[in-house]
Amino acid sequence: MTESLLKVSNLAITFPHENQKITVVNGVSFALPQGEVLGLVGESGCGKSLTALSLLRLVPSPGKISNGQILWQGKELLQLPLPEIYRLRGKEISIIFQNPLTSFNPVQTVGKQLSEALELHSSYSPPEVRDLVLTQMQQVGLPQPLRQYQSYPHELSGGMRQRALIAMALIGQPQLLIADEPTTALDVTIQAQILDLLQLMQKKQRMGVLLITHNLGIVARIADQVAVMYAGKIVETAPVQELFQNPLHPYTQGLLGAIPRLDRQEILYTIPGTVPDPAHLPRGCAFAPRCPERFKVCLEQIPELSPNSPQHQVACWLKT
Amino acid sequence: MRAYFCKRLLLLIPTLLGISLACFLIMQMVPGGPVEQALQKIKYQAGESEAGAGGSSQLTTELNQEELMNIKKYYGFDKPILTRYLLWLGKLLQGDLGTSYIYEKPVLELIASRIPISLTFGLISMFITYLVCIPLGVQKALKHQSPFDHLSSILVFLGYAIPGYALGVLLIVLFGGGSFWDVFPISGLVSDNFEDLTWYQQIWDYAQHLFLPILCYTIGGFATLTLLMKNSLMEELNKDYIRTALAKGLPYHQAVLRHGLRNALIPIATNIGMIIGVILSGSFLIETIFTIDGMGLLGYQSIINRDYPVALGLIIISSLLSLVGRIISDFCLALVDPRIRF
Repeated sequence: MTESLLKVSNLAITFPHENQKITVVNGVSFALPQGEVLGLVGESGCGKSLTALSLLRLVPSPGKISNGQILWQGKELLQLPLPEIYRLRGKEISIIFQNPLTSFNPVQTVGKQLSEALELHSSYSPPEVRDLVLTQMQQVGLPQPLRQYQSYPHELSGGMRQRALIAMALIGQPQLLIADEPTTALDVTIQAQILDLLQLMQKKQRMGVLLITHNLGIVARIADQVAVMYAGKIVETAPVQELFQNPLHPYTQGLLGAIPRLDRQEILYTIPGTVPDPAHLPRGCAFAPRCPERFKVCLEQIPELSPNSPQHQVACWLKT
Repeated sequence: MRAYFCKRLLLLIPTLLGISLACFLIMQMVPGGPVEQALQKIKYQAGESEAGAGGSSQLTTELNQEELMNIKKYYGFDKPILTRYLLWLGKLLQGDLGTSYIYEKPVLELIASRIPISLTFGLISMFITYLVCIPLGVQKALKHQSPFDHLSSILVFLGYAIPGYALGVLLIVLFGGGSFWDVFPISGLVSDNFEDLTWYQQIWDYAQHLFLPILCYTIGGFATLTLLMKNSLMEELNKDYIRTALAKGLPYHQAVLRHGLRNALIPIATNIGMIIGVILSGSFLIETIFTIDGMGLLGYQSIINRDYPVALGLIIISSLLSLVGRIISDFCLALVDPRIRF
């Protein structure tokens, strides 16, 4: 087995709320080997974006990383002093955010914002920076790099903005790219292009990619390994083939059943109920109230993530 | 863009016509105008001589009829109001604002003599206000809810709550050499021996004279701009692009200064044009207290004395300035925000 680029163990993120602390991410552990794509899947509000932000120590205040360990190439990220974190951000670990329009400063040209990412981590002269940025812009498929370099973010189309954002994330040649719902704000044809681009760049630069999405279609397309999150916990993790062929957790089964298919003329399956409020989580398994297969122990005790087979882990009382 | 600003400039003409017509009509309909004042004077004099010599009242009335026509003619009140307006407008277009009834000088000359004083006050006040409020607002936004934030809020609101003229009186009592300290001169803009001083003494003398009035001018203005700056920046701090800047590896305060500040300054920049009108308007109360011959005092006196040419001249000039200020504001907005194109 290859040495892990990133190893997260027992991560917990809490937010203060009405004199108590709400644990929004609770005991999340996963590992990402170099050059692999890990898909982190879950509904809105399950804590997947927060998990991603915690890797850069960008959890928005008043939220706090209250527990856990993030090992990045052997270094403990949560113990590093801030200046070292600044050096890491954008150089070793980069992130692509969901909304490419609001992720850009509206009053600065795209070129300037891209250059800044490189200038922060290198000692290139301004003309060299400019050349490198233009090359990177060309590599991500921006049609006229020189023109888009001088444009303001609002002057580009949605797809071009996302390409520019990807260029900005890749300019420092990171070893890990976090893509937080990179295609959610785009229409379907552009989504496919952006995914192809991400996959291409990932192969080219041999980066690890943490892909955060609620879209299982995207995961099936580019991920190597999948982790399914529910209510702040990882409930199932497996290689992508295995997960799609043999989903073990009832929640994963529900998600897969809820994918519309053209070859079946039946009413689309929906998981009954809604995501629980993190302030009022059920005592036992968080999914139990919505689970079609629950039994007594599910409502009383929280199941731990445990291996069903060497590569396939699941947190469900049914499987243990 | 050029077409847009040409259109805006052309729109100034009907707007100014409307403003001038409305002000002209309202002002001339107010009782107590120059004719009535002149009559009052004559009646008073006649009453005095009547009491002394015991002459017939018949004579006085007749005299008054004749005199009345003369007086009306002198002030131009023998014609209907619209004709008067058109005559006044015709002269205005030739750059003639008429002659002051009180000072018996051309209005333009009167106003021109006051402009440097009010402009000095206005510009210095504006400069100080921006110089204090922008850094203060930024600090307050960065240290939201801290003791510094609360304390500075109390101070600027205290300033906002104190009327400038009241502060003026207080400052004169305290620092004007009466019962307490003799630190600042209390009236005028320069000392009597100004001519004999060397240039640096002149500057020092001028600064000493300006200090108290400027303080009174600016004290109320800090709150609005500081809070505008703070809130505007706080709003920007929550935006996604700040997070992007942090993710690039910028330390927080640099992300704020390099990215947030420029965006937060957009609403502030649009205020600049509005200030042009304010710069010249002055404040008659503060000018009265510190005996400064500024625009505020001139405007106030012209209205009290029904000195129509001066009052109308001031209105036309300040309306023109604030209208042009609005156009400048829009221009500034387009300048700082690339998303705005007309």
